[in-house]
Amino acid sequence: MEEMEKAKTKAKSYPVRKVIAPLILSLFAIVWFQFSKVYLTGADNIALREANFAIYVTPEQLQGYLEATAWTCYIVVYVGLIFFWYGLVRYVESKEVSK
Amino acid sequence: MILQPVFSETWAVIFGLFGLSGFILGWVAQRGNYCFINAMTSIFTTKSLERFGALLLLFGLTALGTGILTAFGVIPAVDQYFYNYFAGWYILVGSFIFGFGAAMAGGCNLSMLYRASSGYVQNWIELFGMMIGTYVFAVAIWPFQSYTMQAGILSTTSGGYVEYLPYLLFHSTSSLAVYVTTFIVALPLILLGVYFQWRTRNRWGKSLGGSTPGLPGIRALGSPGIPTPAETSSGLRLKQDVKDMLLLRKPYGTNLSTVILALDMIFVFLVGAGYTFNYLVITSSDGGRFFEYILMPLGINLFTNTPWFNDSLPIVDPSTLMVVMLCVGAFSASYLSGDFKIRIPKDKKRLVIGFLGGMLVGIGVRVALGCNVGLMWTNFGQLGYDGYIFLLGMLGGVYLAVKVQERL
Repeated sequence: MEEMEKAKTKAKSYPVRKVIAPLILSLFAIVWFQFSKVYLTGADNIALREANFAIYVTPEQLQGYLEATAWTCYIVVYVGLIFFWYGLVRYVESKEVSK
Repeated sequence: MILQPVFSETWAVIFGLFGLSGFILGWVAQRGNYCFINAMTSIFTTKSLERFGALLLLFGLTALGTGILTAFGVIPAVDQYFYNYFAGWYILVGSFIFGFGAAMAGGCNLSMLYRASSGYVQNWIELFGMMIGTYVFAVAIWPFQSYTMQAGILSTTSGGYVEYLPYLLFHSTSSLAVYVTTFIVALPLILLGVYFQWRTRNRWGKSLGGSTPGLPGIRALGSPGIPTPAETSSGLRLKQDVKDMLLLRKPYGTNLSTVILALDMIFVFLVGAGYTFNYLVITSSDGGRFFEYILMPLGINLFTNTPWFNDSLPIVDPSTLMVVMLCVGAFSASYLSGDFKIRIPKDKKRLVIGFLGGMLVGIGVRVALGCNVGLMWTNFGQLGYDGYIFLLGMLGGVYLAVKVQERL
């Protein structure tokens, strides 16, 4: 009976994708914020230099976007790391049991 | 026109709330498996009108919500009509191409994004195809299309209040005109949606030998007082269903998703009033925008020298964060419910079809000036008529795709 339970647990070892996925999400959030700060700000400056006001975004709006993105990034990273840690513990647990 | 914000939030709050709305949109669409294309293909394949009925309910509830907010003066009418697009041949042609491409590729703009976030590789390929399609449109079609729009060839030339149904019907944008038009637009959509769902369930009930056809939750009134055993068990079942949905063990029902999505759109309408003039929910522009973003680190700035990119797409707007958070919301829902998995189709032909379909989606949405979300659904909320044209064209495209797929 015990053997069967063990075999069941072994068969249902915690998937690695569930461990990595939140980490990738957190990294994505950081990359997105950095990209916005560096490239979108740069692109907006080019648009201003070329006097293309159809695509130019005012500094207040761009600053608002960056501020909102920063806060979103914090939330996503913290939540992502919590899930990553939880997933890692479950993964290690499942490996221990299978041994 | 100078922006006159209705509420005095800062830009950061506006962007944040649009992001929140995107998160809700992605989450609910993923949990409800909400797809405009599936709703339409099922009309021609399984002869089921249930999901299409839900779509009509979605449009009707959105129009009702935004219309009432405008009629009672919470939101100025100008916010509702300011971004009503031009209308012309391009909406019909574009929506037809879009419907065909999306049905071939296996997802509308909304489902493409939430499925891509849930690990469907075919939808990643579709998304990439859409970006390429947007570029093809920008260099090959936009110069011609913009000429016909400016010259008024099979096209209106103004947009705004001229295409606002209260103005078209009553030559007025007064509260009364908006109020009456709201009901003229919303009621038929809601009633038709409910009727379609009732008809489909009635037919299923008959074919399965069911005894009590009709919408669940709608019961005949009478015998109040002590609950019958059937009522008690249905109450328990409802409680269990709610619990299962909250714990992500069970997907959301179509109508529950419909109501939440309509409320989400109304929320955006409120939040964006005065700031974005209700450039409500846009998912298609971001296909082009993200292509532009991908090329930026390589030193290529499409907005400096490419048509459409250099005059139609601000560097960033609230919809950018909305689409990003839509993907985050869909990913979170699929991850927490255990649905997330990288899925590569066994038949590699699906990837090629996904790419080509995605290209047609990209071209179609840009020709039509918007997608099923940004133009069709949003336009019902704006009390315009472009949504009806788009719906017609999209149905035609989906029908053709179903016929082509039958022969493949």
